Amino acid sequence: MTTTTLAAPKEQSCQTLLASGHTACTGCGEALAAKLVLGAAGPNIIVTDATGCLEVFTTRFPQSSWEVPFIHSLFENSAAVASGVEVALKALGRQNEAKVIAQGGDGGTADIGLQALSGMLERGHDILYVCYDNEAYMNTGVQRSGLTPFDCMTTTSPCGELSWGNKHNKKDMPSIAAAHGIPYVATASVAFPKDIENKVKKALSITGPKYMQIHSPCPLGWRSNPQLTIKVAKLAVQTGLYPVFEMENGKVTKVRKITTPKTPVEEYLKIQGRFAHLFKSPKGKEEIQKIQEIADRNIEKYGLA
Amino acid sequence: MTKQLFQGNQAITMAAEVAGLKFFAGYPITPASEIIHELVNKKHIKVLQMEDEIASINAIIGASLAGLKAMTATSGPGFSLMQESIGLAHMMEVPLVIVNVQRVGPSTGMPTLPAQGDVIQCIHGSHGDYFPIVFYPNSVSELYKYTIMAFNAAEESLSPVILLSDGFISHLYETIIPDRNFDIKNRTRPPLGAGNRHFTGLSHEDSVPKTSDVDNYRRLITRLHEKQQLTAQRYNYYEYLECSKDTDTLLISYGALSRIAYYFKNDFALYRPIRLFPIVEEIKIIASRYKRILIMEMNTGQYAHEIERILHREVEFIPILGGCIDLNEIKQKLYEQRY
Repeated sequence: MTTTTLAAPKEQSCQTLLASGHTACTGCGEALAAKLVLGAAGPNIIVTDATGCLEVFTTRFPQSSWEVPFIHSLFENSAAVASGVEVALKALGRQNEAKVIAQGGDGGTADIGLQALSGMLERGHDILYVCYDNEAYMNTGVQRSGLTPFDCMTTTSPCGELSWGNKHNKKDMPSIAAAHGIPYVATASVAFPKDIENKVKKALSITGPKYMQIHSPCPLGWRSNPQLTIKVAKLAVQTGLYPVFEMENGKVTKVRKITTPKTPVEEYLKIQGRFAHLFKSPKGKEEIQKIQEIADRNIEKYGLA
Repeated sequence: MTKQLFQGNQAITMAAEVAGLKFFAGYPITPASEIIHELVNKKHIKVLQMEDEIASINAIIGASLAGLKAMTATSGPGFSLMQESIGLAHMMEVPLVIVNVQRVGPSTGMPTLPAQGDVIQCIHGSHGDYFPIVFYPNSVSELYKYTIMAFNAAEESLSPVILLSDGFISHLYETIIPDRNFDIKNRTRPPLGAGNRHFTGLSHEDSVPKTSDVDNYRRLITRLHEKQQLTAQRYNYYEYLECSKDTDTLLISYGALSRIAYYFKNDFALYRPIRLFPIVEEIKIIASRYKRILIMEMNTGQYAHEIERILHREVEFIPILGGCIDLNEIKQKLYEQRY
């Protein structure tokens, strides 16, 4: 097996504002993504963060990894707390002193936090919302979320006689965000660190609400080899299952093309335990075919090929 | 029947199945998540993972009105989110079971450690006056038994019944005999689906809203109160241990903390409410035998205030905070309190 080692992002261009020594698992994609977001955003930011892995592993007493002002909100209200911060900065005439970044995991964004996020986007706050998408509630024991992919096994969508895992499709959060008529929506992947930095910098240069969703593998929940985090993330993009694109004012303006011929989804699925059940019986082939169709639809929809 | 080793949360799910649970809606939260993990694997129970706790309680309200026995399970933060709809369920008279596995609050608090800070929230968390029945067992086998009692009480009272637990007993493993021979109460009210039915959270009479009829509102609240009291009387559960020595002190505790109280049974008389609310009337008679009432609980005096109110006398109070139950500390506090 070949292992892809991470080409360290050229850190001269960005500072480290998420200090090392936190307690993320080996190979955590989310830790890497958060570090890149903060580094690109620079020190003049105020961040809010919903309850979740990121909050837990970065704030273990007596240390905090956050070298910027940090508010741990509840689970459902990161966007609402950030809204208040942003308006207060404006009221105090200090809006030029700091940018506001609201953060959440996929559950805190697409499920319990959707209402607060929608309000934030609708009211037009000058906030960048970052969703670290590891595709389940990892902090509470790997339960499915609205962003868990089809046929994925989690503790609340187990596979078995009557089930292939998660019955529902991944919620199309970028489109939901874009439907609010906001100026900037982007997806990214930890497999492409430079891309994350560029997108964060671009987003922060735009006034108004921005939404960014970063695919962040979780070796524990995905049952993948921690060494392969970047490879797994890359394959999600290469197969078309996680399209990486930018949307400005509702229109897709830029996509990361996939290499042709396209990579079959099996390549991505087979290196993760959360999809292992699809390879254990002949009927699983049909399910894999369904997942391939999802990828094909993405390729067509976003013009990835 | 043989003894088997089970976790507290597991015992709740097994008992719920025996009691006739058919629908569960919930949202992941430590330390209650094992309940949904277990239930999702059961064939004959519909399980929905909802987008939050507000959706969870409302889904079980819908399912219960449609005719299924329904339950949700959460911890403090989720329980807080459910409060408005708990009021709705009382007003619409919907039988439900709500499991609250308490953890240290307020807010996100200490998610993995036990607490008893939601005691008052059980009875006053929603706005307006309502009169819930609340059980709080202290062992895995009791969790099993009182889950079934909670379902029965819910059906009899047509109201949401709260089963309190805490991070300690819900995560405890003990051997239990999963007895299936319980008298199970079934729904007396016909489900939705036939004819003109109306349910509302507005003040109402015969299900029809009456939002400015003062007399009707007073009748409604009186009826709901009496109904709850009447049902509760059938579930007068408490534990009272007289002291072998002559003592003037009654030590009151409940839930996880009451397990350590047994250690002091030779020095104090012990009282443990299992039906936490409405407060079991017998406490008045029992308390009258003792000069001193000592309450220890894992909050800053929530139940102590209620006991004071009921007994019309002062009680002494020992708070055990921060999710730590330490025998030496408790010993010191109990014996120091004296002087």
